[in-house]
Amino acid sequence: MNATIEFKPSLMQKLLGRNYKWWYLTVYSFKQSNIRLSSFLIGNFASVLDFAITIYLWLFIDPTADRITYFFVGFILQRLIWSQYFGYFSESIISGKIVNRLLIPVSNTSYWFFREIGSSVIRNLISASLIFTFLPFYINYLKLPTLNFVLLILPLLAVSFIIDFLVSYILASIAFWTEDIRPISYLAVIIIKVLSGIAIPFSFLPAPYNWLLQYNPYSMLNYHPMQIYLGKYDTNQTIFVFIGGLLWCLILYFLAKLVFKLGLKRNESVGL
Amino acid sequence: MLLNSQKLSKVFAVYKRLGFFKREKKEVKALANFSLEISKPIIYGLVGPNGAGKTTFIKHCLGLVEKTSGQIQVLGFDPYQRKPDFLRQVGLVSGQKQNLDPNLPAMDSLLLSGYLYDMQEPDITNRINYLVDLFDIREKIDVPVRQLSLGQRMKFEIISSVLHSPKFLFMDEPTIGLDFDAQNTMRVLLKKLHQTDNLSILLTSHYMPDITELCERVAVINKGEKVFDGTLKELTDSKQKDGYLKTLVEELNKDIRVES
Repeated sequence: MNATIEFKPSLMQKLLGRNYKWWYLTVYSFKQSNIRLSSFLIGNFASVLDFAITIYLWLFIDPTADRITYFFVGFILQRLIWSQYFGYFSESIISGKIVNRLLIPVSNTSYWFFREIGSSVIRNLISASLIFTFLPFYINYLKLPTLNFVLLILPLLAVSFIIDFLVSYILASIAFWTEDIRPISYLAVIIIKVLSGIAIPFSFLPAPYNWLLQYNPYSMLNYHPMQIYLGKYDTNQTIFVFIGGLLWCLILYFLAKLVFKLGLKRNESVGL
Repeated sequence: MLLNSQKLSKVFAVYKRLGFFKREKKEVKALANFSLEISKPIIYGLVGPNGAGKTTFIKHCLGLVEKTSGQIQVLGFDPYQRKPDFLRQVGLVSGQKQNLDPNLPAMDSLLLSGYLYDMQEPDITNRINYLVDLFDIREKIDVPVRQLSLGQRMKFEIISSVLHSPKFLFMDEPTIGLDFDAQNTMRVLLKKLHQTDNLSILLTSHYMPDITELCERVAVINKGEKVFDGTLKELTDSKQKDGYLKTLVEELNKDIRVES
């Protein structure tokens, strides 16, 4: 017979009090990702391979420091920001597992947000180790960031992370209206690559598309941060971009809540 | 009133594809003017054939689907609003739906559940200790859930559903797939839980012993309509001419004879 479980409060528990639940949810999600380490490794290796091919191609097309830095650093930003929970969330709607979530007295948005943070730790650790293996090959092409980028990197990453999280949340909620979300997810990945500027820099696109694309929320994921990194924006433009990102967060937050609420009306909690 | 459902109806829209672009909309009545009142903590059985509307009714009790018409209140709340105060007082056990992560030990999922329900330590640990002893499953708490037998997994599923001490537990076929021993154990445990926690239980099951051994009152539902509501004795003593009720009464009486 095992001994009685004893409670020993951790430092985090003492510090966070009632909000410790969010910390524990993040840790729980980290543990779940850790168990799926092999699939995570393969998935990450595939995207790093994709990245290596892209850079290799650009070395022939436009081997300038600006261009190679745009893709190299842009890829690192993408790995830090892009959320992976889309599949789990949409699958929970289609399979009816969302029932378990709906019965817990916490906001669905917050629940998935902290789960995403937990799983992103493993993803970023794997990506970082893979990217550093490629670094020596491209080091001569890379530029150092501007002071504005260094100062704003954390808030910029936070805004980009939230935007990506909320757009994924809205897209995953489409599962309330369809039986198969996979075609939408494939389409979304391609569209997001274009809208974020990670596939083709906006400057390569004809006007007015390149101008219009700068105002889409996904431009905050790659295009704008990289313009700040490369010193293409002055301080005023940087602040303007940052405020624009915050506004997108607000708009997307309310949109995500609305879409989820409308989706719930269609929810049949199948399989219960 | 613990549960008060008045003329509750639910119509689902079902689409049949007729061609590439054309589809036909059909309306399926899952519940039709279903009324049920539970005023004191008891184990209430909800019985009916497959597709009768039992699970749909439970979904309404938990606010998981929107009603088409009628009224429903559980513990004084409109379930569909899913207010945190309401969610903290209800629980769900479904024999067909797993709540615990299969790859992690049950302990991790139980702790998460406790924290998400805003329980405080050492209350969570004390409650887990109490429940794992009650369910006699302490030695399995650190084993990944996928390595447990179905009976052991169901015990942890129930522990997870009652960890936050709900007042009302909804159980949708909790003994499905379990062997006779595990079914018996489960029934003993549910009785204990009902007595020690003063827990109200609304139970659906196709296994007659679940109904005869556990339920004080029974509601029978068929094609979305309530066809009987009363004590188990009233049901087994009733003279039914034909249809589902007749078969049900025969099966219940057979089970009661075996038991005695």
